[in-house]
Amino acid sequence: MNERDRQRRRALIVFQIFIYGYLLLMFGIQLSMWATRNW
Amino acid sequence: MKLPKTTLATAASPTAGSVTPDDRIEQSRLAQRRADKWLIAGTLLMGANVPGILGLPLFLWGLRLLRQASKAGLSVRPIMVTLIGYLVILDAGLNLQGWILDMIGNHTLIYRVLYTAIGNVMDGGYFWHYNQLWIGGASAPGEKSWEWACILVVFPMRIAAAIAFLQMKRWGHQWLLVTCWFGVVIWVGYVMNMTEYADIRFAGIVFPVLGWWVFDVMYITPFLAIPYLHTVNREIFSDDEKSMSASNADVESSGESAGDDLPPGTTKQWAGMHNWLKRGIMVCLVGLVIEGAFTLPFLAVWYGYPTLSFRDICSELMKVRYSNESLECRYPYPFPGPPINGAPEGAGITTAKDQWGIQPVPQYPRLGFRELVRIHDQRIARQKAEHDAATPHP
Repeated sequence: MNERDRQRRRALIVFQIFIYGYLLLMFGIQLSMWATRNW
Repeated sequence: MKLPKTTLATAASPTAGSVTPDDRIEQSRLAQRRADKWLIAGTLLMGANVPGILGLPLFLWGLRLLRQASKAGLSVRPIMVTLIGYLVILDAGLNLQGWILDMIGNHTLIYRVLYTAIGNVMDGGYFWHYNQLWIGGASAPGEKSWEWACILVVFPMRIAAAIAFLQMKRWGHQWLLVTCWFGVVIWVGYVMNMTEYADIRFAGIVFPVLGWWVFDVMYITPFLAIPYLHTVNREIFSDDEKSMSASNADVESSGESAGDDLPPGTTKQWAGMHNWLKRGIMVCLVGLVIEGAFTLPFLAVWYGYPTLSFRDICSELMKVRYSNESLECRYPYPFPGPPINGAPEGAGITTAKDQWGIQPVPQYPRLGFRELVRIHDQRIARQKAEHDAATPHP
């Protein structure tokens, strides 16, 4: 694996962490709202 | 055209001296075409919701043909490119269908029943004050902006890019990459919008939060496509009109994938990741088909069909939405409907109960399994009793 591929791998890992982390965060916020509001 | 196994085997055989490169290209083209017929038929059915369950076997058969041709040494499109291309078309097509209907088909009976039912089950944005805005059905804040942006720009672009991607054209790869990043923008913005207006989206509905996530998580196609698009060997895509066979031949001759039993475009260092992405894509594909095929029948039964007719369900949902027993679903709705001709169905109705504030909170009750049937029957019985009491005995 050359340097360019290594950088690409790092960027993809950051992207995956960001996007799935973001979705999980929003899901978590909605779950906490569900637990506290009269839905 | 059906390619006999002997033909495939001959093409694959290293000792097949009688097969010229031109023959091989022609065999590859025919094998690709044959698989695509099944894949296209399957995708069209899968995009039609309920018949999707019939489309899946056709699609899988097409994939099998493609794999056989590939194993036989023919130069056909890689499985990953095929899966991503068709999944993007399916994903964008299903979204496009739902949102165009919400924009121009929002007074049809089937839409007022099944799509407001989806709203009542998992996303109140498609139930709350439905058909009260000047255009389109959903009244959730910001929803129309997403719908217009995606109908006019993102989804047509995605479908066009995916078709070119399936044709192994360079611009198809480039534009699919661009539109997949659009997909990231949509997901990030849309989910934030839902969370901001969570009371409208989730108060009083059947399956708050979980329903929407279970249903919509199958649309994460861009997140699965992006890693592949950034790591595939771009030499397999070509500007050449006859790009399929030419580009594959280029890759094979470049030796990047050849000899390792890897599909064209997949290099050794990314093979593991491409394998995982393929599994994720298959899960999304099957998930979309299952929810497309079973959600609408499930909703019809949940809300009382066949005991109640679609028109009855439409009326009962209106009564619940606006807390008003006197409302009836107007059917057939005059054509062409609003905004071209007349006001939307909900215009001027002021009986809906909401707790108004910076965040409106709907006050309609949660509807249980076939509860509309009970509500409907009780009201009919009560009205009959009132009528009988008011009628003087002879």
